[in-house]
Amino acid sequence: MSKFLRLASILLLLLSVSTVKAQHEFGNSRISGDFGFNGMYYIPDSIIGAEKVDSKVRANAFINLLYSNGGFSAGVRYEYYQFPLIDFEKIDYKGQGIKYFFADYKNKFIQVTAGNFYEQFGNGLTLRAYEDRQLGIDNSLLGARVKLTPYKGIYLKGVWGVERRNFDSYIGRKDFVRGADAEISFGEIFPVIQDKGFVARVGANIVSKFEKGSGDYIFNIYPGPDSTAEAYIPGDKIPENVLAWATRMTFGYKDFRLEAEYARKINDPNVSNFHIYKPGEALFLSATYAMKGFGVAASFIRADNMEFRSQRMEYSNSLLFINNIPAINRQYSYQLIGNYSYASQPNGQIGAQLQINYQIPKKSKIGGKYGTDLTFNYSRFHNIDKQPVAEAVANGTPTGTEGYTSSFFKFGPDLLYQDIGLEISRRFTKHWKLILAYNYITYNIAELQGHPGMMRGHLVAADLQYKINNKHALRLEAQHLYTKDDDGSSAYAMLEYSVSPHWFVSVGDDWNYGNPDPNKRVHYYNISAAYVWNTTRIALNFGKTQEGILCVGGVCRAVPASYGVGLSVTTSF
Amino acid sequence: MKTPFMLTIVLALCLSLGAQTDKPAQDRHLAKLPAVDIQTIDGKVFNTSEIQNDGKPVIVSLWATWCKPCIAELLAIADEYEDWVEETGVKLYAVSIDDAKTSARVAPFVKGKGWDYTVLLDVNSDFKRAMNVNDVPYMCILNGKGEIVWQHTSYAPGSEQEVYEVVKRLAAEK
Amino acid sequence: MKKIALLIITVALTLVGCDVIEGPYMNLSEREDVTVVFPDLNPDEVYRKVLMEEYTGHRCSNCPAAHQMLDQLHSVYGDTLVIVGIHATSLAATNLDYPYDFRTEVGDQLANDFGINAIPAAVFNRENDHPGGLGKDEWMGKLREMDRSSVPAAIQLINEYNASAASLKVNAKVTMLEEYEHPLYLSLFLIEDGIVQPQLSGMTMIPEYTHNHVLRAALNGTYGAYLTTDGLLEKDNAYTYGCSISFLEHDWNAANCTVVAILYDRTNGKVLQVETLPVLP
Repeated sequence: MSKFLRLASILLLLLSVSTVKAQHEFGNSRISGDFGFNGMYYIPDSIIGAEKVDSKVRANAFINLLYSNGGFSAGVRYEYYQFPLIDFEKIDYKGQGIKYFFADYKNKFIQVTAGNFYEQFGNGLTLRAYEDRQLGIDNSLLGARVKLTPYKGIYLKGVWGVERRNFDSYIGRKDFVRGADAEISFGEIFPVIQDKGFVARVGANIVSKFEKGSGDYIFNIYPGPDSTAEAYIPGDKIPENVLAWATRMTFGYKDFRLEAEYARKINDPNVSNFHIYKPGEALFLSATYAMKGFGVAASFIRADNMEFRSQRMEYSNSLLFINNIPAINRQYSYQLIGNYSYASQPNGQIGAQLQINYQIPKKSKIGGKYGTDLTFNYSRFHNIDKQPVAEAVANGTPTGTEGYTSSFFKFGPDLLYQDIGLEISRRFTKHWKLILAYNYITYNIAELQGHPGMMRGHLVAADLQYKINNKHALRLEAQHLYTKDDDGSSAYAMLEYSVSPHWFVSVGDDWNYGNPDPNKRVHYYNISAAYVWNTTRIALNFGKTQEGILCVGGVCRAVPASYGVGLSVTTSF
Repeated sequence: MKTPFMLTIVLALCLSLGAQTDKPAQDRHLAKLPAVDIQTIDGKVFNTSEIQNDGKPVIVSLWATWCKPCIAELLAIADEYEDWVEETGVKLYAVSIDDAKTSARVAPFVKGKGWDYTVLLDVNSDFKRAMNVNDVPYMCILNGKGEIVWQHTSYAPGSEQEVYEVVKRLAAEK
Repeated sequence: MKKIALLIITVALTLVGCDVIEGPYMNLSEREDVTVVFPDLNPDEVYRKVLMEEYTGHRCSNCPAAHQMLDQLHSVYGDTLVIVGIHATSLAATNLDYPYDFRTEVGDQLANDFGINAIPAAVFNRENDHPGGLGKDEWMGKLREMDRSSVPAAIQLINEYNASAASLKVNAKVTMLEEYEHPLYLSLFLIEDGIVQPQLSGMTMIPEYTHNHVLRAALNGTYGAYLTTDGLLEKDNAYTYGCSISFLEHDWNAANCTVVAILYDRTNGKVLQVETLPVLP
């Protein structure tokens, strides 16, 4: 009960702060902010895997305040995650306090930030400090950043900071990250290039992590059949400074664009790579062509031993990543394949993705009055080819060796993920609109989630919208996943009724009718209502949810496996 | 025990909503867009303070290629965008919050849909943070002076009509 | 302009650290001799013990309930159940309220390798068919169904603790009681009982909680050292192994410490036998 009181008072406090309506300008200064409250009352349900949790009422809450005056700005975020939603509890995103604050000064030449900041170099292959509040990821760096623009078209950045680790104290940390990035945009230096329709940019960066060694050996191994010696990694063979660097370039002409980035990381024995000394590397290529009504995007990625973290023994999925190797597959928000979305494998993946968008022209015979949008998508990811070095074979473990060799463009033996998809979107009249989609998805459960299996499934989805009039609309989402693997087939239907611009009401059911275990053929129903007033949104929902992405009431967010009643309030002011 | 607290929450909610309505928008000191460096679709640095439209109204939408309601909203506006521009001179900036994972696909996506919007990339969510936006879709409308006069999150079919009402009113004010 | 950029990059490079490590990465050292004499072994008095690696954390609200379950299991199985408490996952991280760091590199490595993401969880005899380990409600059933009829090997331990040098030498002798066909490894852990430090329980912090069977260190690396390199082990073959560890620079209390010896099959990771012996007699 006391916890309920605390949560209620936090909500109250946040709300009353927002009622102050601080968004005013005093001279040139301005204060603004936003807050979010996401609470849930949990009901245990052993069948769907919703655990009995020790506190049934849980909530995530935060408030951001921003002050700005001309080139100066400062901000602070207070987070209250003392009794967080269960998925946040599981990743230890738990605690309360101010873990984000900054002061920033900026003019045409220089920008200086002190405190917490988010930053990305290039595509993030070497450095990406970012946040994803729904996933509970906050890799902000606490330190300082300087950005310089010495000349139009030349951009320099330098950063130094200690990475945030949930609500843990920064005191006593033995690691930090530093880096520098430079980018030259020729089009901005020589306008003639730009005038002719060319884009040309190059960039390079270096990032280095320091982590004090612990001095002990890591692993004891058997060095060879004829030896009676023990082998271990002594403390002075653990690199305290690990450097990564990357170069990138973008070339474009009119509607065509080619982008490439290559990154490399020196020896970085860590828990995820079995303490091998092989350098890591990553290549990201992307080519796009776009004209009105037609677009093609093709991309390629290869990552080898590129997991880069502030602490070599950290293995939690969400913590202390310095870089981010993008998963270039197309992301879907379909309910039924939420559990089968590909996750990037920084330590070994090679894959490509192709997406074609085409709009059958408006007012044409096939395209209809409003045109018809077609999207085709293909992606395929494999692990990389790995041939253990002789020493690793002899020792029976890769630890303390170069690990393996890998031929660069060779696809590894295991398919990790494949997606073939077609989406057709068409508006028939002012009232009716339909989106149809088909996807064939292959998802390697063993490699991506760690329990045996391979999911091959056909997904058919339809999204039918009927606009009754300018204010009232109905939307029906229907999906069917056909698969013999994993949890088997599922069907899903959701009906949403909205009264623009304030009200959303929806009822949905996800029925896992094909589960091999008859007891688990569960209906994951969901009822929700949301009220939106300008930037304030209040939503109530009741139901069972599987892990995945849920989009109801016009907002998408990641949802954990749970059963209960939820209340969510967000606003900005 | 629970009831009084639920009551206070409801009360606080009413208060906070009430506080927003008790002053007409025009009387307030209105905020402008924060100045944040993001990118154009060509990858050039673009400062959000440069979002303007020669004294005519501007719509700013925060969206992402993976966000269905965002796309539904932009598609709905796309159907009538030509008429809107003709009648009011409005300009729509579609700021994508796609990160490195999907940002390369924004340009072909936009062209594939045939949108005439000015598309910008906020790959590190800097603009989103500076705008205090929690979830997409988010939309705001600026008047001729660049002041934010209307904001909204979520999309319900038909809400584009309200957007257009605001834009028409702003265009007429000028 | 490009020159300036290059200059800045060069300057930055010199500021930024980069430790390129030259091979060989590992040190070799001779094995310690085993000079002690082990008493004769009576195979009829040897029984199969089970290794239970319990993953826990001082900020894990459900873990004290799991510790109670361990006490129950202990009352049923006595010393045939060897519990090693591994503080790992982010719930074992330190903060201002829980400043004492129970984590070990060996524990982190094991937690990573066994996919432990949520605690409390336990892995029995290193069986890896349940990724992430078993939750506490499954422990009783799991122990009941484990087949312990065969006793493939026996482990004998003799500890020599030198109090003035604060160093411990562990001597082990493994005797095969059955024929075996895979290479065997022996892993030696040090665990400690009676560590009084805070522990979260439900919603509240217990400031003086007694932590038992806490994994402190591995004497010979995460996965131990080989006993045999070939896969042909005759019945009655015996192997000795010895290694040392220093208690200096650690806050371990030798009086509360116990050595755990784990004999396992290198090919499939399965544990054949476990033995324990307190550091001090």
